[in-house]
Amino acid sequence: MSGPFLQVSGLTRSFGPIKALDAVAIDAAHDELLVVLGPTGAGKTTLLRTIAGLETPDAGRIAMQGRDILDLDPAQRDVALVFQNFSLYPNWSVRKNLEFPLKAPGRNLDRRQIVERVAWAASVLRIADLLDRDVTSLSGGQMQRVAIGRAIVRKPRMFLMDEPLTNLDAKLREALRVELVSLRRSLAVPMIFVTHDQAEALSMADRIAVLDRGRILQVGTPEQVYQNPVSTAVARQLGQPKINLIRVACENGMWIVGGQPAFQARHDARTARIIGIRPENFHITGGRHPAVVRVVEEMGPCRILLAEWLGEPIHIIAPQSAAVRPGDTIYPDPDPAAVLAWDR
Amino acid sequence: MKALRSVVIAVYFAVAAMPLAWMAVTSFKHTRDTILAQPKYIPALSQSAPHSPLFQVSLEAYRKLNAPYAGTDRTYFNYLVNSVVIGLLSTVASVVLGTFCAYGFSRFRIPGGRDWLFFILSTRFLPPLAVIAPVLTMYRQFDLPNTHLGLVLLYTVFNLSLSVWLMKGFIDDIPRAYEEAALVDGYSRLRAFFLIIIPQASRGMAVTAVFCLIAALNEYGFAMTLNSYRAVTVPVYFAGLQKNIDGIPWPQVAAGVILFVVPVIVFTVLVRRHLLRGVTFGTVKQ
Amino acid sequence: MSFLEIRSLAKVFPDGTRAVKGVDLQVQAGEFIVLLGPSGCGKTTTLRMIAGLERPSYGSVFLDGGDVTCLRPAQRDIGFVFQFYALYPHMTVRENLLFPLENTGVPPDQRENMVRTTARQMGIGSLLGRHPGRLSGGDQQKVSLARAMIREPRLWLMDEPLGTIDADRRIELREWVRERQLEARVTTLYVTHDQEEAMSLADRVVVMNDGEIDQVGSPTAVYDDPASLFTADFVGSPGMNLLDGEIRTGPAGSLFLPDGSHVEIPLAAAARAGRAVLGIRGEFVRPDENGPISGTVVMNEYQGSFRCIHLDIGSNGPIVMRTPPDCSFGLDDRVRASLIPEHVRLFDPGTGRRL
Repeated sequence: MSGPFLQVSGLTRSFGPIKALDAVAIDAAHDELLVVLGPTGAGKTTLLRTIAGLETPDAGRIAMQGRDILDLDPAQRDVALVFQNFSLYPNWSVRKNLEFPLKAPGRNLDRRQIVERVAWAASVLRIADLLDRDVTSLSGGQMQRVAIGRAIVRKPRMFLMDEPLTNLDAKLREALRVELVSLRRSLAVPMIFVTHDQAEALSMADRIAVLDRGRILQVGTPEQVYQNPVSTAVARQLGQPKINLIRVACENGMWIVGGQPAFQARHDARTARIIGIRPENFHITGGRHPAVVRVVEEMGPCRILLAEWLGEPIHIIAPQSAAVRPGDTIYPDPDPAAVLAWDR
Repeated sequence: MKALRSVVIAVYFAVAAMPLAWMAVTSFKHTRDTILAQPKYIPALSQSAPHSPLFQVSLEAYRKLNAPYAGTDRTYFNYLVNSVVIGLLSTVASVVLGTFCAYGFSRFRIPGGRDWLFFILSTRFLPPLAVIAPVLTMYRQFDLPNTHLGLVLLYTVFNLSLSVWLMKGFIDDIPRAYEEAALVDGYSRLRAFFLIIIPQASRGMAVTAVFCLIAALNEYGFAMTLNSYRAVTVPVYFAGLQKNIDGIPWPQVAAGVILFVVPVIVFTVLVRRHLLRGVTFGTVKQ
Repeated sequence: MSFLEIRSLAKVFPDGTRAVKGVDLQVQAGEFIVLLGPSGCGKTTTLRMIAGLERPSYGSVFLDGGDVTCLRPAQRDIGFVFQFYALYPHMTVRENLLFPLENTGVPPDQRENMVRTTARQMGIGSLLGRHPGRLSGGDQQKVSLARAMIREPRLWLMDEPLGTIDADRRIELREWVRERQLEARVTTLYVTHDQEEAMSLADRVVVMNDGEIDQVGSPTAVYDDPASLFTADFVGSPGMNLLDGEIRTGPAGSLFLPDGSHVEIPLAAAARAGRAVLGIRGEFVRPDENGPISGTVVMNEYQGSFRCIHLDIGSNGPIVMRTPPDCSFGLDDRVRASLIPEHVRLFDPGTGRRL
């Protein structure tokens, strides 16, 4: 097969004066996990719902395997959608919930096939022992497993996931995201995964599409988007703690911060007005300007320092071995190769 | 604490049940025993002195209910059947129509949706009898007076606004994701409505049905004005008893009320759990 | 005696639930203590008993040398910060901040000063004349926190104050909380289920599990030297790698043999032979061509400043290796790794405690 599996172009959708989607163009390959990352209200959910057929766009085109699907209703598109808040049917058993998509008209599966499929999905997600439980008696993690089971059971052409891990607690979220990635890989079905959590996006994605206020800002591998963000808006969305953004001018090959020469400018970025330094790209000694540490946050393998440097509050990730306390003075030295620069 | 609660409940129950109990007792008396200065309230098998609280149990009142009503060939039971048929049909109609309508208002963007909803509610702002003259004129055009269909239509229309509003509240509380999941899973919207929304909304429908049924059974004004025979309902029957030349036959009234009310009470008790959960609007668990 | 002392504090609810099963804790003046644990571990109940919002079934609370177990909350001079601290919409930010000072002994002319100072520290100085409804969600949360922390009582008690805040604002807000606390030096007890928040804020972390204290220690101590399997797994993201296996002793020192593999992991110190659980943090698992451990890469989690490589090593479940971001292992690669012996922690598989 040639061309991407899913091709979205010029997709626009307004709700009154608000443009939820503004000429969105993305595509997804046949065996790819594409993460759409964006803050609340960026239009992520609208995008997913439009692909699923639950919303009608004002303009634009969606093609799946080369065929326009906009005039198909959700049932005909044969995609599976997993919602943030589980959307299992209460007072139904897990088994009944899993059988439901298989009993849809047009699916034409006989009793034996349905039983087999349910057993397969249950064993893949390790929920076989829950099959006869009422879903209301399950924990959050079990519920989301069942919801994913309901998505895989009918072997759809594509998975759409709308923040499926957001309502789970941290430990479970970490475990499930690993599981979800390997599950998708073993099924070899394309997936679009929507989230506002940058850690989820970086760790799960084959490619990330960064969405903000209805517009796609950048599409690329996690490494590309993290290391070479095209704009400050993209840079701010990735990384925890956030990238340090500093307004600068360039004079005699030096960055000027707050009126004083700070450090060597990148020679290819002399017109830049704003630079970005990731917190991990500092040494805490060897710099020419002092910084007073305001807060030290223990992270386990490292420490996050909040310090006042050249009149700017900055975050620095320091190794656990660095003995720094609030009130100490350090001399931050940014790694010149890792300094990002933009004209605005 | 628990004891106090039981006491409060017991006292309230006694007060609330008293009229019903008295009605039940009265329905087994002879008329003469109901109009004495000294109340009689203990059932006995034989006649006793006028001052004793004992009265002789009699099924006379129930027998009289089976006798044709003055000047007609119809008994109380004809009226009861009318009430039940008209009440149930109009209840089913208002709940079904109300649920569909509420689903539309809840799930779709309807131009002027809020205004329509307000309009529907506004039909309740007038006392129904204010429109009795035009209704009567219209009904005459269509030969609807003295038909069951006439009252069924009328009660359905009057209960519909209540039904739409109640059901909209219940359906709003059912997450959209439920039916959207079904849509994506390969079901049509209509199927998703019947398979997912109706079971989820059944509790709300039971609550709405109780309200509609009671309203329909109690209605007197239209039942009286639009009918003189055939489709007359129980409230009109009771009103007619007041014109009895021998005075009001209290045992007969009481017997009629008991037969009229007991089925409703039994139904309410059966669905009481749903009612309790149902009337706590907005707390339906996702 | 410590500034705050809790002795054998226990709570049994009327339905028989033993939420807190005897907790002892001493807190120094000015300390920032975080009570950390999963939901239902009794941390909030403990906090509420210290606040006086919940009556202990047993035990006592001493504050500044006095027994306050039976005092009402208002008599204890504490500030309690709730998860959602509602602002009054009809008052400006300034009036909202003044409100908690009204029933205190602070003279009116000083109140204005305190409002301005706190607002400046929290970066909301320019918002004082605005109404809360006009502010963004993040600014509203800052004002809520400022209002909760403007007064400097003897104790600040905080029940997941950042629980409802977006992840990307949480770092900013927790730094404000910490800075304000460092400046005011008010003794603080803070409840959370988020181990990262606990580590980043606390002078000492109190890890709670099932109504009991599992471990008390500095964030580094709790992270590096967990007292139990529970803490080892709960603290850290991801938690500690835990391998079931057996310790064997020999003339060359002790070795650890994980179940289901033919691997010999050297241990730093002499250990008693027998069943054990080996724990090691991901950053102390290093790619090493001559390492004893061999596994297949099943997941490569890029995190910007680092990577987590999940190695499938057989029946003992994947082991997570934390590497620099430029590490180039691909999926299904076979990788050899070694564990840094000094950072290996051993646990008793029966009791779950450290060996």
